[in-house]
Amino acid sequence: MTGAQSASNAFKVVLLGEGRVGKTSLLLRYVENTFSETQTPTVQATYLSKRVALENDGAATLNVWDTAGQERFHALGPIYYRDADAAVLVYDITDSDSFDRVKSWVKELRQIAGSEISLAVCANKSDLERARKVSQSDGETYAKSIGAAFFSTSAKADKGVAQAFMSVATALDAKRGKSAAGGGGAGTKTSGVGRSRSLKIAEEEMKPRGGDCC
Amino acid sequence: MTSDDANEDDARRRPSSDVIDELASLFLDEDYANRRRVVDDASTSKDDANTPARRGESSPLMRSSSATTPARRTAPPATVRGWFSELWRSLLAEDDDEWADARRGRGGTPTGARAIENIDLGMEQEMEVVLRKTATPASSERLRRTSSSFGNRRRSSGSGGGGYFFGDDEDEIVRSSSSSSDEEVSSRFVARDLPDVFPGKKVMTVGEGVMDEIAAESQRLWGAPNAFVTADDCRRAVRSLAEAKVVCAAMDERLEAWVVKTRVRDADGEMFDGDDLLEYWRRRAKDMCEVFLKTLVNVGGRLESCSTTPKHRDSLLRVVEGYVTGGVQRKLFKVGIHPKFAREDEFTAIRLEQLASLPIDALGLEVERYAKVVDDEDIIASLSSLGDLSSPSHMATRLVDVSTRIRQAGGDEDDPMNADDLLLVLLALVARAKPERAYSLVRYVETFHALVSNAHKGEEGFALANFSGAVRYARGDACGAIIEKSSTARLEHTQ
Repeated sequence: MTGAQSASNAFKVVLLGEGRVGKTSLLLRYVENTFSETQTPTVQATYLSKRVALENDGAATLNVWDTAGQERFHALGPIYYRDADAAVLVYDITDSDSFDRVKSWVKELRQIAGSEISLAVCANKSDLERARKVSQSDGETYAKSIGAAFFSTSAKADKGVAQAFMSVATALDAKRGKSAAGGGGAGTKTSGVGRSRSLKIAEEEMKPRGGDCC
Repeated sequence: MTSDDANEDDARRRPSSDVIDELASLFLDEDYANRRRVVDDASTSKDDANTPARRGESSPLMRSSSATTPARRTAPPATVRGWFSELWRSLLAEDDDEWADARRGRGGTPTGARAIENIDLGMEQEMEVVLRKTATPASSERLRRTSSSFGNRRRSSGSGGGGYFFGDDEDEIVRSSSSSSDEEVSSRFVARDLPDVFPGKKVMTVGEGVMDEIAAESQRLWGAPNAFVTADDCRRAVRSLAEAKVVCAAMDERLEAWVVKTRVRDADGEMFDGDDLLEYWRRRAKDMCEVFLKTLVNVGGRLESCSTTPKHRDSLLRVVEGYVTGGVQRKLFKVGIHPKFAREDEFTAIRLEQLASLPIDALGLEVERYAKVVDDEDIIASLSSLGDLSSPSHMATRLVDVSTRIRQAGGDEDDPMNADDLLLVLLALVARAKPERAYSLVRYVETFHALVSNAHKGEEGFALANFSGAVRYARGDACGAIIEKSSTARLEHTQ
């Protein structure tokens, strides 16, 4: 759906991670349940939308945005994070640099989004156990320290992928429910990195003057 | 009816300028610093003495009390102006009450006992009453006929009256399967019995079949959110509804009167910079959308279903955004955004010019693979004229089309494009298209797209983010270094 979506159950999820960590494969595995041995680190689609049936009989639509992972595009990150409800951070267990990069993404996300955004960390390529450079306990400890869910995933072996996205959907649905119960109203509001900036407007500016108050 | 009669009738239906003034003033009373004040006390107006407007008093139109409040603390509205004052007050009082289902089936007009009471008091009011009516063969036939045109209807086995019920994704009409002699049917008095005192809203006879037609009309109007692309689409849709005419007229007045302030000070006396101004303008536009939206929903009629049906709601959100942003876009660009970001636009234009002359491998793109797509004339023309489109949503829709075409031309299932390449190809295309005042355009679309809807989280938002990313990357140091490196290499090659 290209247009406006039902405000109450559509969530924006950004997929973050260094190039070649397997973001695309994860996404394709999840959305289309396909994995190609020959697939290079490219994506078949850079934007994917999937409606998820939740365990509580509810439903949520995840709009997953793939993002440019090259270092030279780092400054563009906020354009993609903006209004995100969740971020799935992916690293390659055979590449410790990609794990460090996840940490820098998280720092940036925290600066921009605060604690509002839901996080999930995926330790990808778990099928390459022999070449592992980042231990599972390091990944789990780090995820716990930032309040993120942790998943050991392998797009190739179809391991942990659906669980990771389902966890994100469930967490977002729970957050939405809490928000609605708290009187925030479902409406058009969902958690996420808002676009609004704080403004302190001078008192006199708020008074309407004739017909041209704006 | 002669043409004179028609003109007279039309003039009678049109809201008076007083009403418009009042509505416009109500719209002006918004407090944009998130500390909304209640509207000025309308009861002080000498020609609106019966309008209850003391601050803090509960509104007879508030959802919790409408139509059922036994003893009102305030007098009922005497005029349309009064009615709208009350409506406005109730909207302000509701604050976070968004899209509550409580109003479902009650419309925005005073109903039932409340309406009867108002008639007794001699108030100007459209009237809706509940009649005991024997369903006639003709009306049953009509129901069957109208029902057959919709695929998602079913008959209920209940004995209640007619109604229109909505599921999450599909709409369905549920009706009584029996024609009980004492079936309750909502109906309205005919125009002959009551004067047409509700400006802009046609008084009509409504039986069960016609009620069904209203539901069908609602579905026809709002069933396809993506049908609303241009600002004209949005204007046409809402202006076609007689029940929305007064609100549209007020909004038109408001949009026309909206002056884009460029000199605003913060609480410390400092002048707002460009970013702050954008946020300031965005809040105003957003507030206008919210006011317009809530008022339209409360008007009821064919707008009623928009408060409860997901697709209808999305349609109305798009329509409201298109209506408001389409109405202020030119002003915002001309008075606000273009002058404020003139330097940035100049710099961006220079950068795009430089980038356009670079071979695409300098950007990091495979020449063989992407040479054709970066010279796609249709895409270039689409991007070049982006600023001519009528609203941010219109622009976003085009960018979705552009992204789709790029992906199709630049990859296939076996060898698809990735997010990095998509961004770079878009950058090369934007450089070739050179959209006028590209930086202003980016800032405008970023700021004013999806003011009240959720479209920024979907594919439109993704396409906009990529466009924004391409222009911002073009302006950045990384791109500057590429341009410098490339021109140095060219110079050395020449020498």
